[in-house]
Amino acid sequence: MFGYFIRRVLAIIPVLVVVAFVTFAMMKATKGGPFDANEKLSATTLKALNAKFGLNKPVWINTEGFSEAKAESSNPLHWVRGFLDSQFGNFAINALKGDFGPTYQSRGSETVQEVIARRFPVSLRLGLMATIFALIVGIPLGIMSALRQNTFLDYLSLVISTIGISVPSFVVGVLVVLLLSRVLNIKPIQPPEAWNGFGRAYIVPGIVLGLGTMAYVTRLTRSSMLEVKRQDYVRTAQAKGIASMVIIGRHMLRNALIPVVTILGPALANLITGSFIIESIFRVNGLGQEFVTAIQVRDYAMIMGTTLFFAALIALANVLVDLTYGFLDPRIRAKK
Amino acid sequence: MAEAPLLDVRDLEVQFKTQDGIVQAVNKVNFSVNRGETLGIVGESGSGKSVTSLAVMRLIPSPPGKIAGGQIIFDGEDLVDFSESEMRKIRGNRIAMIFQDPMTSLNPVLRIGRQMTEALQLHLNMTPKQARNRAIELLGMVGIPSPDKRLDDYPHQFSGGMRQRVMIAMGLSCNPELLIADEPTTALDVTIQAQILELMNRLKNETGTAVIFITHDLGVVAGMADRVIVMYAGRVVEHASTHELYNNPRMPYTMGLLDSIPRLDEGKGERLTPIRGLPPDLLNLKDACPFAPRCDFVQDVCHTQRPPLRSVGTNHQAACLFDITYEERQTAAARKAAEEQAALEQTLETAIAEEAR
Repeated sequence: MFGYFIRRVLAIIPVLVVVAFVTFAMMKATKGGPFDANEKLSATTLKALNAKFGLNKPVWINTEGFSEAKAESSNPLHWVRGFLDSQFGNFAINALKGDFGPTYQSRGSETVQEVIARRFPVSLRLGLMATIFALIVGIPLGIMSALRQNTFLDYLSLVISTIGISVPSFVVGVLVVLLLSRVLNIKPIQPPEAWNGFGRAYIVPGIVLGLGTMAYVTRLTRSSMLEVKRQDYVRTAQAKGIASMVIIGRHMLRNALIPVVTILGPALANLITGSFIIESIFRVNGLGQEFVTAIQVRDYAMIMGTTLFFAALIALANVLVDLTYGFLDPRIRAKK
Repeated sequence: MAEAPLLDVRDLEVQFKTQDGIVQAVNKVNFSVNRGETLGIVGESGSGKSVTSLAVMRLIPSPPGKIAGGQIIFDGEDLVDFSESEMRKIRGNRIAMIFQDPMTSLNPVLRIGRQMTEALQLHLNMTPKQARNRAIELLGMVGIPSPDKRLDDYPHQFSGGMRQRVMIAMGLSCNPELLIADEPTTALDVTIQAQILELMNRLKNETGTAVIFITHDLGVVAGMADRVIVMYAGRVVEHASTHELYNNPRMPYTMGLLDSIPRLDEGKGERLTPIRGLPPDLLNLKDACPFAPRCDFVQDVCHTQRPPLRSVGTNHQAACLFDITYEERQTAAARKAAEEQAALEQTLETAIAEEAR
């Protein structure tokens, strides 16, 4: 089991390498740069800034060292050295040391990892809030509609989950803000300090963020329960005279929740990393907002840092889910 | 028969609502099981034998199914009138059931021990410790080696035959008065089948449990049952002691079933005689013999009148309007074969004559 875990974690590394390459390439292919935003900078300032952030070097291979001697260009060692001294090479070396460099927006006063450390807990709490909401509402709703199939309750849950899946969160978010402020006279936007610590402020944006996942969990639980209900072992349990509530709790639920757990990892990672829209609507100062701003202003270091961080997070969530999966289903545990 | 039967099913009717109408899956079925006796229920798929057994357990999925009429008298009480919670005290405790497919009838995510002890704790009020010891004892009884270790295994760690042994142990765990075995050997290969049948026979004698043995295999039922009922299209079409049924079948359907069993003493290359045609659609059964379209002895009257189950000998009933015996069928079959042969030769001769000209 432990060996399996280690193998799965090591398998994340090549994924991150590919993500880094692709992101870096796309980022560099995008027009514009970090310093051509508002005020026109003088040529000397620009040159100094580029040198400070290493942007004066070639992107992939630094050919400076071996340009004069033609013969040397066939030496693979030079290519390696040239690669390591390029923009990407420098980034990769520092990233391996855990340093993603200073952010461009702060003009070098704050590093990427400092920003992540400051902003990520907020996104994490918001994502957790959304996931908890999706589970504690979605699973019971799904179970209920499966047990009362084709009744009013089932149709009601179908309507709720169809709305949850098809209405985008920015629509729901705006409507909720409108409802809170205009009808209920509650301040929908919390002050920045409200996001420190897991407080009440997270409830409303958490629910709005988790709505889609909640709907999906409901549908999945429902279909999974219906499937399990038809299984022979449920009939066996009935033939043993077990009470139906016990059959649901002991015999059906564990089987029915296996597919739900499968989507839980990606869903959790999605909610933690993909809360940008909700963060903007409710003025939550999380990492999602930071990430999108970084792309807009071509903050190269920040883009790379957050992308890799999110990628690692999603990969890790998947590994954890696979472990949980084995915990729920002994047949899978045996294969490892 | 001085003693009242343990189970007395009278005029049982089970219906299923479908989109196309009401399916009469079990139609006015009567049978009884005495204490310690084994009753075989034989029939092809869709004949209503499994539904009958589920009805006795009151486990017909509802909706769409329901018991539409009749009585199920178990030890003097009509189970049809029982509430769900009263039924739960019967199920697994006084009437237990073994299902067809041991691969899917055990819960894959629970240990065997947990699945065995839950009924013991529920019905016999055992402590977890007592229940575990009893489960070990039961597993040993059904021939599972090192039962104390196997108790902590999951179903996927058992083979099909072993799982059926677990199912049997589970069924017998609370010393039921009646055990319903719904095709317990169908999903197993032949050698394992023999082992399971032997085990069931032994346990039946040891415990004195009455058994309803449901199968589509007349060969299996021969070695197990004291009496046999044959079901067709939701009705009982023949009812006799096992010996009588095999030696003197009176319903052409039963004869057809007997003829379709492969025999060891048969000559090489001889073909099996299947029953031609398909079972009738249970949606719109007319007032006619349901077997008429497939019967070799069919007369006009068979299409207009439903034959009642009538006595044709001592403790022998059959649902056929005519007194057809097995010998007659054999000679009829021989005659038919001869006629076909003659017709074939005739056509050949004319063909040769044609050619010559």
